[in-house]
Amino acid sequence: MKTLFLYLLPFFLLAAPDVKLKISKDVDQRTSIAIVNSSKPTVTSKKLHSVFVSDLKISGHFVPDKTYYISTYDNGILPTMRSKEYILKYLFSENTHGAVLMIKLLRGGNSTVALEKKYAIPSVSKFPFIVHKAVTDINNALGYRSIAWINRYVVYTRYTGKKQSEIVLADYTFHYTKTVIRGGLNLFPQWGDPKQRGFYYTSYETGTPTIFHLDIYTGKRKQIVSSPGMLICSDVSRDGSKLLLTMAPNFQPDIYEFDVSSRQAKRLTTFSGIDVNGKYSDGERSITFVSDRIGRPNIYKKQIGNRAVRQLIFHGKKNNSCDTFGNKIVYSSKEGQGKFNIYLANSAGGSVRPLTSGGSNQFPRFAPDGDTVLYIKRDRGVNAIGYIGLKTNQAMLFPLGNRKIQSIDW
Amino acid sequence: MRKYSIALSTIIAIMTLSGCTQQVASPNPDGATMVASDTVTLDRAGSGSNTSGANGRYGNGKNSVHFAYDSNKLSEKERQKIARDSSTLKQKSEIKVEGNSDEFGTDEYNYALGLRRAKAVKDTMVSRGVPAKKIKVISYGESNPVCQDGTKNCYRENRRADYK
Repeated sequence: MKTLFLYLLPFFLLAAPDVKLKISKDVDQRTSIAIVNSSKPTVTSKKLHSVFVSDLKISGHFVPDKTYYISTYDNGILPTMRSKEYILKYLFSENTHGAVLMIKLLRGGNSTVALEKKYAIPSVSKFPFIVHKAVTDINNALGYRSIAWINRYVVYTRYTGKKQSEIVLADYTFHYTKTVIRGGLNLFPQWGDPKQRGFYYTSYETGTPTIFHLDIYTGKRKQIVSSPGMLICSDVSRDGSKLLLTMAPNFQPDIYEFDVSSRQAKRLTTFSGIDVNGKYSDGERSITFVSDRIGRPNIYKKQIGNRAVRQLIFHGKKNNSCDTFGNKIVYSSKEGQGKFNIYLANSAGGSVRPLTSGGSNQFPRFAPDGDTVLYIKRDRGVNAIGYIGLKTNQAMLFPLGNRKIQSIDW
Repeated sequence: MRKYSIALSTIIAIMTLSGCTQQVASPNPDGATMVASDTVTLDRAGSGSNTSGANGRYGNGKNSVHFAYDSNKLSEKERQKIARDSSTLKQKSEIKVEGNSDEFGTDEYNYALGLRRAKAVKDTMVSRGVPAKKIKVISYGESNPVCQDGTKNCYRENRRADYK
């Protein structure tokens, strides 16, 4: 029992909500589910249990029983589980070619099989993805709103020393991490396509900031554009044909729209101060961006092709990072020495509501479905990646270690 | 025999489906859905200017000027320091100015702020007769701290531009 408690303790700590959220969906409305390990109880098969619990919880559709049950795969269910609506049994086995996961979803009332599937993965280290895929299928089989975003890679840069960094791929829980670019200073990774085949990033290896595109499966690397001073890819159009860049050919940071085919860059902002962090808005007819045009960083918006710029956010004193999705924006706001919080607003700047509280909360990024926000939390020297379900009001944190995160995308 | 068959099916599935994207999951003949193909790792250590790597501080800070929080304005004291150094800098064939920031603020903004600081130093050098074409400007944002103590003095040290 003591061992079980110690095993689950980190999860309970991390699962604590980051801010007091209004719980709109009553716990009783969610589906209760117990998770049973039917595998040989190895370290990895135990970790799977933790990932199953995280996935089911973050979906907002389940109330997973955090108890670590062990039972055979083919026999029925224990009497103590009958009160659950569903029982999920999993059988994980490793082999020389990777690993295989079998899952069986049983109805608690009568032990009948609701879903049975089998998954294979080429590398044991990628075990979180096999769980994410299984939970996505369970979620879909029960007719709940899609949570496909949990299958996506998170790509981020972490500093490893002075002028040194590495770009890393991870699953959303960071149980899986793999360095994709090491050596030198490589920054600002930005996915280049919805299927996450490759990403853009800024490299300093030529002595002049240069954006490359890397195919993560083939390793093919393509030079896109160079510019002195600084160069960042902030956003990619839905069809991948255009990039929003922060560029400073005359040492003046402005936002440009770059056509990938023609390699032509069109300047979108002309302010004499700082304009950065361009994000497409309004079906890519506008951009939302960060500017210090009133002497401190804040969020602004302008139509592409129109000179008029309007201040979007009137809350907070220093709002220095943002992301957009449909009619929503999220932004980080400085609220004291080393203290940042993340806020949600509509695309007109109204209906502002806080999403985080305490510590430093930065790098807000929408999930591809716009219903979940990712962010990096740093509190008392501890880094964590946080998720907030905007519809489900679920909040979760996963530890990241102590290396400083430079930027992140998913 | 059954175990052998399962293993063989898995191998075939891995070979067939390698190259699929993260989200694409396809069934193999054994009924298993293949998930998450392998990705590459690129090692760029030693490539181009990466070889010069982490040369954080020039001359023990003698060729650095410092800035107030979230500012790219040079104080009169710092202007005078650049002015004093300008006669030496004029003799150089190339001058590199690197802008830096403290760890506060977020990613892109810090790199832009570092650039504005480097630009302020360049403009001061040019006003003192250093040819603009000799001066190369680059921002390293918060990637090149001289200290990481988490003190006010330390943060101040990192809000700087270096030149050589």
